[in-house]
Amino acid sequence: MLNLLIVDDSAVMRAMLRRVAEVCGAPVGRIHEAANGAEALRVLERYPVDVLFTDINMPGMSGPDLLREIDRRGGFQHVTRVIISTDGSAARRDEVRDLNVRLYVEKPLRPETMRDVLTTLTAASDPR
Amino acid sequence: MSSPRSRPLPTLAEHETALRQALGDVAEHSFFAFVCALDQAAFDDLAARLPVDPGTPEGGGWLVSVVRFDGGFAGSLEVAMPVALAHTLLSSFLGLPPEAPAPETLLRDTVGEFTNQVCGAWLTRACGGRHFDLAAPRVERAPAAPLAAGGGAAEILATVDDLPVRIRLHVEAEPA
Repeated sequence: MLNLLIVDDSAVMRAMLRRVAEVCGAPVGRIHEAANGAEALRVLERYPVDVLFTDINMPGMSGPDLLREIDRRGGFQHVTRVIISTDGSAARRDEVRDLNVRLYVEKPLRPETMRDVLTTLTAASDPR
Repeated sequence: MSSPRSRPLPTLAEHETALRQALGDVAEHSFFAFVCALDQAAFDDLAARLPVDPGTPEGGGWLVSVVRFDGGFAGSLEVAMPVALAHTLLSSFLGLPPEAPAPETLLRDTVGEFTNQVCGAWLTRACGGRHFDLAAPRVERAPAAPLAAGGGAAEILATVDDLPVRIRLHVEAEPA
């Protein structure tokens, strides 16, 4: 079972991603939410998380800053990182390339895209 | 000797074309909504015929969202839509029945996310590979759609699921 953390400053975006995760059929455990990077760090320190979905532009602490802080603190190497952002620019993709980002998903996204991402991550985490 | 700028800056008309593509992508892919272009007269007529919801809170039956952006371009994108459309988009986005209750905070958040996605989709096309920053959307109630923009702003009028939408782009700085 994958425990998820969804980080986005939009409550409806978090709700949409949660809803897809709950109904897509992937083996999903607990789903945590955070509205920015600082909240996400508190969740990560407190609960086990397998996959982190994060937006880029958020007030307080951005997605890239969150990933840098995770690296600085250490102990979260096992957390799979997925960016979900409206910024599909080549420069932004280059910026996060060194932050151990597994997938970069561009908004607008269809629910099927989120389902496919979860299916891919589930298959990758299956030891068989 | 050629200019260091690889291509001329987009015209207002080109901005409007790119905005229409961004609106279509976001409405269709994220919100399962259908977009149709409108002229000013049709927009005004449709806006005037919107039913007045007796439950409309003080402040008006429209929601106006503004997202500021910075990067290759700097400026702001404004989206104005009736509250009824915000409700429709919220239901589509979350897969809820149309009659599901829609708290004001979620309606505002929906219009903000819609604006954020249209702005990001436009900037991804317009910025030529450069990254950009988007500020958090600022969403307010309004009694009516803002008046038509003057010169210097790109503007598109459309219906989204048969309800009127006005999108206005103010570009304050262009890529050097």
